[in-house]
Order: sequence, then C-alpha cells, then structure tokens
Amino acid sequence: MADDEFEGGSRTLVLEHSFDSGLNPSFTKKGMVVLKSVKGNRAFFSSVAPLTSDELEKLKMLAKKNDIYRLRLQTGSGSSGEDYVTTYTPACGIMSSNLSDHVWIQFDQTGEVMGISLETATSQCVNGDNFSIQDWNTSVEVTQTLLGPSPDTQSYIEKLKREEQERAKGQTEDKRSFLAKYWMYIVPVVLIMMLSGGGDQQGGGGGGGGGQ
Amino acid sequence: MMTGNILLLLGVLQTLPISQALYEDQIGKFDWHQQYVGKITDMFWDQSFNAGKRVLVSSERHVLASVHSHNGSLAWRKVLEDGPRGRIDKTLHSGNLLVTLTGGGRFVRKWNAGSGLADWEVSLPGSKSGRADLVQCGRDLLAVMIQDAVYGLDPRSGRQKWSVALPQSNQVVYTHLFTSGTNLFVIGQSLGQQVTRVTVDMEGVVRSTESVKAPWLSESTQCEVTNGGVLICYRSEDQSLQTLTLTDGQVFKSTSLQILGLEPSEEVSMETVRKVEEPLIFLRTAKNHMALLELTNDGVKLKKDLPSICAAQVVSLDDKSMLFTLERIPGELKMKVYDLETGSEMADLYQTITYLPQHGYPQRIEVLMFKKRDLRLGCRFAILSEDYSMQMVLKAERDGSPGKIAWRREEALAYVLSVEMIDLPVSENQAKYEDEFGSHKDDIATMFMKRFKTQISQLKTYIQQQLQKLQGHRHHHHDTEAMAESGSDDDDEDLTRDEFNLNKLIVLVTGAGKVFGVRSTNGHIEWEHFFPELAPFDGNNQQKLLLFVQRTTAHFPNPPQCTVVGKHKGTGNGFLFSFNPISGEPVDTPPTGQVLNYRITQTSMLGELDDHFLRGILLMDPDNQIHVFPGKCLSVLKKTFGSQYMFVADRETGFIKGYRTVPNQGKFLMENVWTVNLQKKQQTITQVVGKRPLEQVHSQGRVLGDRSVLYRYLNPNLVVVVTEGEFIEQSQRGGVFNTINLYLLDSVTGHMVFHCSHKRAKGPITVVHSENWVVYNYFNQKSRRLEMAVLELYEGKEQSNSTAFSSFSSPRQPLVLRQSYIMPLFISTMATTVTEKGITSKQIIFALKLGGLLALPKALLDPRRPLVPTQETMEEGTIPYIPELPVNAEAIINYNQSLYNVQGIHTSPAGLESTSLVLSYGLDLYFTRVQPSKMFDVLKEDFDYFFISAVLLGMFVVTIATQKLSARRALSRAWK
Repeated sequence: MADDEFEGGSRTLVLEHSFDSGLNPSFTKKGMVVLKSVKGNRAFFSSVAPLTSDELEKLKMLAKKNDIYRLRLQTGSGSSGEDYVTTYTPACGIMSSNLSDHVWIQFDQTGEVMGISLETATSQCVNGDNFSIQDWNTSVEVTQTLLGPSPDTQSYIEKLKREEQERAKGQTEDKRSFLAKYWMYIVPVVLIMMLSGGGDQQGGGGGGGGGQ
Repeated sequence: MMTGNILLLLGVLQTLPISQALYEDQIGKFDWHQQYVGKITDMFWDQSFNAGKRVLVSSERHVLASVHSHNGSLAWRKVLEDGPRGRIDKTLHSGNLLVTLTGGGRFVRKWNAGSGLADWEVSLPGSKSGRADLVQCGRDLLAVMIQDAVYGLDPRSGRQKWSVALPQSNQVVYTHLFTSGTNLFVIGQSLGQQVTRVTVDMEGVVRSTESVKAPWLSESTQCEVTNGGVLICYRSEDQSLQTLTLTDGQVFKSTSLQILGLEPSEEVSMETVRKVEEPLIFLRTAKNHMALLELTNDGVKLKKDLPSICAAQVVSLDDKSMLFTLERIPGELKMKVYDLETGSEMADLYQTITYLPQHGYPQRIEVLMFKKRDLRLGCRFAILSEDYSMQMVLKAERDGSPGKIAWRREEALAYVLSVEMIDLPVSENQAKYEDEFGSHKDDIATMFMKRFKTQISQLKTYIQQQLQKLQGHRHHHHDTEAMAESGSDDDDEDLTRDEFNLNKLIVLVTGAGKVFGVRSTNGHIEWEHFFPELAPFDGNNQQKLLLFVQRTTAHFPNPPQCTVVGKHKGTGNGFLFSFNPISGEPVDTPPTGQVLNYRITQTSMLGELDDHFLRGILLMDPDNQIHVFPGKCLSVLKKTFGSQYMFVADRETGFIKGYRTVPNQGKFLMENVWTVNLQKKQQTITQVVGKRPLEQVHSQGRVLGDRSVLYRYLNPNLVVVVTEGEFIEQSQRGGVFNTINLYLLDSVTGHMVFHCSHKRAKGPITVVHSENWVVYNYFNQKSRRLEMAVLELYEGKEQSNSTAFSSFSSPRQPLVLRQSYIMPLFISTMATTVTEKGITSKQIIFALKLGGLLALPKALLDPRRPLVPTQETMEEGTIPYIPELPVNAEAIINYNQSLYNVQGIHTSPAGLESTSLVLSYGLDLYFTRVQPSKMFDVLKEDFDYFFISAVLLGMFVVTIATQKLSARRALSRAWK
C-alpha cells in the first residue's frame, strides 16, 4: 500500500530532548530517526552529538532533584508549538542505565506520528556523582495501528463442514448395537451426574463452617 | 480421542454457570423495579371513562403514560422510539380523544386513553425544520401541520381527508397552527422580515396568504397563539410584547413590559391559557413572579400581576372562570383562587399544602374542578416542580390543618448519571466495640469500664429483643399521609449492616440536580437534596456528574463521606456538595452546595488517605493549578505530590496531555509531561475509560494446559481511549465509511501500550475495562451486525515485578490476545460484575434494546477460545470457539421486567464473595443481585441441618462405642 512507504524511500524525524526543569523547558536536538517503512517495526537512530559536559551536569542535577528528562518529536507540518508529541522518564533512570534508552514511536495507519514514549533499562536511582559516560546508546522501535479482531466465521464453517464429512463417513460403516455405538455419550453423562451429586454435598459440608 | 473430546466438552459446559434463573416465588425477593416517565412536559386530567381517576402525561423522554391519581402508580406507559423519531411534538387530549404528534411531524397516533393501546397511526413525511403542530377542529377533523403542508385527518380512523401545500415553504418556517371559527391559521416566521399567515378552510382550501412585517423577529423571539386567535411574541432584546389578531390584524402592536408595570428579567417565558375562550396568557418573569395578561385589539393589558406566585392556572366550571395560584412559603404552599370576572378571592377554596423545600419551586399546576355532593366546589390538582417531581393533592384542607401531598413521583430518577453503593454502618453495639479499639489513649481502668458498659448494653438489647419476640411483631401502619409529612416513606428498621453486607445505601446523582439516597432493599428514598444550580458537565453529548466516595463506612467513628462534583448552571464554575451518604447530612460544604470561583477541567482523587481516613479530591482549573478539596487534605498532597498524575483528553484538538504535580510558590501546578496526538483531522475522541479505582484482582496469572503460568498485565494506570472517524474508501466503488480506533494508554507515562482499528465499523461503542481485559462492542457496517471484541493483556510467562506495579519499569509491549464475536442482539450498554475479593469469575451484563439484562460469563468472551480444541486447551478449560455468543432466556436476569432506555449499569460488591449487586438505570431503575459462580459460600436454603447433625452425632457415638469395645478387646487379649 502507498501509505506504508515514504517518498524518497525513507523518512526522517527530528528527536529533541531537554534537561531543563520548570514549566517551559527548552529543547535541543538529540538526533535523527530514519524510517524505511512503518511496517518494519525498526528504525535507525543517529545521534547528533555526545552529551556535553554542561548537559551532563544538568542531567546530574535532574537526577539529584528526582526530576525528569524529556523528549519530544515534531508531528505534522510543525507550524505551531502544539504539533509536538512529548514524553519523559525519571532522569535517574537515564543515568542508572548508562545513557542507554529505548524510544517507541507510535504511528497511525496513515503514517502520522501519534505518540512517543521512552524506556530505560531500570528506573531505579543510583548515586550519579562520578558518572561520566557521554555517549548515547539509543534504540528506536516503531509500532503502527493494527487491524482489530473480527469474528472468524470462515474457519468455523470449514470446521463444521469437515466434521460433517467425517460424520458422514463414519455413518456408512457403522452397524453396531445402540450401547456399543453410544457408550461414550452415556458413560460421561452418568459420571457427571454422579460427580455433581457428590459435589453438592461436599460443597455443603465445606461451607458448614460459615453456616447460616 | 473422540470420547475424551465429548467428555471434556460436557464437563466444560457443566462448569459454566450460564443459567441462573429464578424460581417463581423468588420474584421481587432480591430485586425491585421502578418505572419512570421522565420530565413531564404535558399533563391532562383524563376525561374519558376514567374521568378524574387518572392523569395523562407526556414527557421529554418520549413517554406517554397514564398515572392513577389515587396512588401515583402507572396505569399504562408507552415508551416511543429513541432519538429524534420518538420526540413528542404535541399531545392533544379532549374528551375521548388522545392524539400525539411525534418525530417532527412524522407520526400521528391516536391512543385509547383507558388502555394505552394505539387505535391508529398515520405516517407523514415529517418536517425538515422539526417544527410540527396539531389541532382539533370540531368533532370531525384533526389538522396536522408539518413544514411544507397541512393535512386534514379523520379522528376516528386516521384517514387522510385532504392535504394542502403551504406557500414558500422553503423560505418561511411554519411554527404554529391555530383554529378559530371555520378557519385554520398557519403561522410562519421569516427571521428579520415578516410573519406569514396562511388561512385554510375546513375543506383544505387556501383562502388567503398574507404577510405582516416583523423585522424584529430573531432566534430568541418566543411566539405563542392564544385562544381567541391572537399571536403574541416576546422580544428579549427590548423586553416588549408584540401582538397580532389573526382574523383581521394587519400590523403588530407593541407593548413594553415596563408600561405594563412588570420588571423585565432574563428569563421571561409565556404559558398559554387553554381552558377559557378569552385571549389570556401568563407571562413568567422569574421562578416566582407571574402575570396574567389579557390581549385586546389595542395591545396587551395587565389583567392581574401575580408577584411571588410560582405556578398558576385558569380553570372554568359552569361558565365561571377561576384563577388558581400557588405561592411558596417556607414549608408550605399557599393556594389562592380568584374569580376571573370580578377579581375577588374565593375564600372557600383557599388552602395551604405542606411542601418540602427539596422540590424547588412548583412550575405548573393542573387543576380538576368538581362539585361535591353538597354542591360546594372541590378541586384536586397535580403539581410539577423544578426538580421534575410530580405531586398530587387530593384532599382539601380540613379543620385548619394544612392539605397534604397524597403522593409524589420523583421523575428525576429517570436522569441518573452517577451511582455509588455505600455500605451501611454497623449496629450500635458493634460500633461501641470498634470505639474501644479506636482510641489508644485510654488506660486499663477506663478500657475495662468501656468493655463492661458495652457488654451490659448488649445484654440489655438482647433482653429487649426477646421481650419483643414474646409480645409479637409490632404492626406498621403505612399511612400515606404520614408519609408525605415526614418526607420519607420508610418506617422499617434502621440503616444497619446485615450479616452478609448485602444491603447498601445507593447514592444516585441525577441530571436534574437532585441527589438521592435510596435503600437497596426496597428502592425507597431515604434522603434527597435538590440543587437548582447544579448542572452536569457536558461534552460530546455525554452528560457527566461526578460522585466520589471520600471515606467509606469502614472507618468508625469517622462518618462516611461522598462528594458530588458538577458545574454551576449560571457561571460554569465548579460546584461541590459533600455529604454523609447514610444520613444525607451535608459535611464540609454548605447545605446549598459550594460554588467555586474557577472552572474544573479535570478531577482526580489523592492516592493516600489523611489522618482521618479521608481521601481528598484534586480539582484542576484552566490555569493548570491544583486545588484540594477539602482543604485539610492539602497536607497529604504536600507529601505525595510526586506520585500524582493526571491527564486531559481534548476532544476539540485530539490531543491527550499528561500532567505531573509540581509545587510552585506555595501552590501546586500541573506540569505537562507527555502529549499524544490523536489526529483530530481524521477522528474524534468519544470515550475515555479507565479502570475502577481500587479494583480487587485475586489472581495474578492464568494457568495454562501445560501447567505453566501466563502472567496478567495488571496496569492500574491503563486507560482505553476510543475515537470514531470517517475514511474514504479508495477502491473502485469508493464511498465514505466509518472507522473506530482503540488506544490503550498508560496514563502516567503516556506510553501507547496497544492500538488497533476497525474499518467499516461504527459506534456507539461501550467499553468495559477491568482486570487485564477490555471488552467493547461496535457495529460492523460490512456484515451489518453487532460485534463484541475482547482484548486480554499478558506480561508473558515471567512476571516483571510481583509486589508492585510501576508504569516506568513495566514491560512496554505486553502480549495482547484478541478475538471478536458476533452479538446476536442489539445492546444499549454493558458492565461487568465486581465482587469483594475478585475471586468469583466475572460476568458481563448486557442491557438489551429488547428490554432484558443478559448476563454472560466472561469465559465466553475469552480470546483464548480455540477453534479446534486440543488436549491442552481442554485442560485449561477454555470453551471451543463459536463465532456467535449464545443468548438463552435463563441468562436474562430481569426475567419479564423489561427495562427501557437503559443508560448505564452499576455493579458493586456485597459482603459475600459470591454475590455482586447490580443496578441498571435509565428510564427505569432495576436492582438485583447476581452470583456469577453460583452461591458457593452460602448453604442452600434447603440444606439438611438435621441430617448432618444426626450423622455427626452418630459418628460420635460410634467412635465412643468402638473405643470402648477395642479397649475391652485389648484387655482381654492382654489376659491371654
């Protein structure tokens, strides 16, 4: 289908991140996500630059304050600020998993970005004072809206037909007595009747403790 | 192999509790059913053979009904079609004739007022503008006006006598039809231009078409036609009345309200006077100010100013016209009657009536006059009040004591929006015990004294009970008059908890602004509050009033507390009312409710309780600031703000935004941390369904056939978002089809756990979201049938964290099993059962459009149902896949008590694990209990106690005897 592939063979999305706290954080470019096709579930991430020492300090501060690290992704044409989808994760999770994070991007069936989310290996907090890793290890995964389930009438009808055929085949060669033919129906019914009769009394006895 | 199959199949079918029918003598034992008609718009005293015995009513909920005047029960009720097709445009009743016009002029039906059966029905093209009118002209003609034509019908057979097209029907909106003498007048309006008057004679011939200039006509102009043929319009712009005589008037005459000496106000409305020939009309300027106007050729004359009158009616008997007026004074209504000719008061009809303040102002009265045997005048009348209630006064005042309301119908109960079932408090004695453990400061001596006192009082009550038993049961007199006076019709036992905690107090919040406390045992109203200014939140045609349980009954001596959160009618700001659900007394808020000074965009509850076990409510205003109600819970937020998250789904933009709480200069603000864009261009968000908070899930996983465990994905923060949209088919045929999309979002991180779409599928969609599964229904446009889909989420064979769930560390892509089934019947809504500990298997209760409540086990809606059963699946106990869901009559839990227009089903756990309480609301209220896994924790009624004790005793005796015998034998053996 035309929807699943992009003009020029691939599509590039700009991923931005922020180390600010407060109501109006400023975002800087984190890297590019290159998609070949939404169906493939895989996308490639190329990092723009390693973490600067300034950013590292900010990240440590965030982790210390138990604050959050944010990501955002532009959707649509990007003419207004409303056209971003954003996500976050506790900053200490980023540090404790050594800057390795996993980004999920969700697409709808026409290929529009609906949401983004971020996962780190662990979200536990560690003491990050002597943390010095600066290279991101980011992976990206893509999901697309699936088709919902629908009743499987086709295979059910086929199954019924098959059973009917088998029964027809069985009937032609069957010339046994009533009991011999239907013992498998009679025995379970008798068994169940016996079992359920016994079961009731058992249940009654068990409930006796709380009795009325 | 074959035998094994059959055996297991039979076994599976046996364990499935599909049938749970009642015995005949159990009808009404555990369930009750209340029928309502909705807000009454028209009311007539039945004039046919039941004259004076019944009242005919029609309502805005598409109901036509006949109410017995002696007790308020329904003689019959007709629920007309859903949606605009069933809207009642006009009800006409005179003599034996009862005719309705419905669906914007689409159906004319004549009813038998005695039995409620339809005599005939005529289908007409209907009106595009939705305006239609109906009048009776003499004995032989019914005239029906729809937008472009007038039809003459024979009232006996419904046969169409003639039809006449109306001129310029594409420019003029025809609004009124009126008959005077031998002519019919059709009034049409062209906004800003003119009023068109078409005169049609009784044979269906257009006599004349004239237009009268009326440049002042606007959307807000209200027009009525009075008896005597005068058109009167009220302009709110300059508060003036415009009148036009229909027979010969050429210009409108204008009279301003000020000239009449009336104070203009925002809410002026007109009520026509039909029972006398003179051109009279009531003008209402406020809830308690009316005026009777007389329309003359020179304009409008004030006949009588009626200050502080809230309802009035003109009635005539034997050529004498009387004006009945009602005035509300604290605790009572004053009814004064005036002779219309002389204007003098008729003192012998004056009476006062006891009236409870929780009904608001009376809005309409309908009086029936009659002559008593001693030739004095008597009257009985029905009152419609602001709270949608209908009340009846039958007996006049006697010996100076005020008249009484014989009965009332609380029609607000047809507008239930939120339900909670509250545990009843424990009995006094038990409470004293609790009190003992509640305080920690007492020393041993006081504790001993307390214990001693409690036990003495227990002994006392026990002796009292025994004495009462000896004296026999006290007789309860169900005096209807006492009922009305006390305002409560219960004189049965106090509200205390029963042994199994099966009886609850049901709190119902209604769209009429009324809050009720109802006993679950019999449906009687325990208390009620009316807030004329409380309005529901309104979005996407869904009305919502929120009801929060802040403290349950479990924290004695702290009383339980509930809070209603809504909108103030006038300003749109938040409106709160907090109360004790058992007694109905207000707590923390004034008895008239508390109006906030901000609008509410989102609400949520605090995760933790305060020192007094109260759970605070968080309210978010448009500036993203967080307010805590009550204020004393702010300390809890200060401690736990780090784990308070909220999200707002915006239908206008298609964005869902997640927020976390951050402290900011002594206040708390919500900070946007995640955003999801659901592409408004293609679709609209129609539903957001979370899980029931504090849901009990017993089992963490599911045991498979190979004895391994599939762990459930139990994310309490998961919400289901449903969007509906249209897409254009790109195939050769083309065309526009509907599509629905389902998103499972984690509301803390904004992660989209799962998303799927159904093409060529249409709503309305109902979503049931519980435990680790989601069940939803949709209409499949391709196969033209209703389908039921189920999604079940599993973490897999290993559990990520067995002690606590965190949205940050949970698996991001759980296993989503899904399957879909065909639902053979149409449903209006559905819900799932809940039980105390979540051990009992679940049932899904469907409200069928046919009127039944169908309870199906969740096992039938299981995505693991295999197409071809194997040994392993049989071991697991799954039922083989059959595309269609079975519907059998025994699974209908409301047997023959059909329920109409069901809006919702509320389920609540009882103290017994096996039992779940069900309340279905809509036009009817129906309460019952279900046992999805049968009554496994209670002995059956016919349990043989005697037999069991005899066996036990026998065993005991045998044990002792054999012991003796064996001892003797051992002794004799030792001697050998």
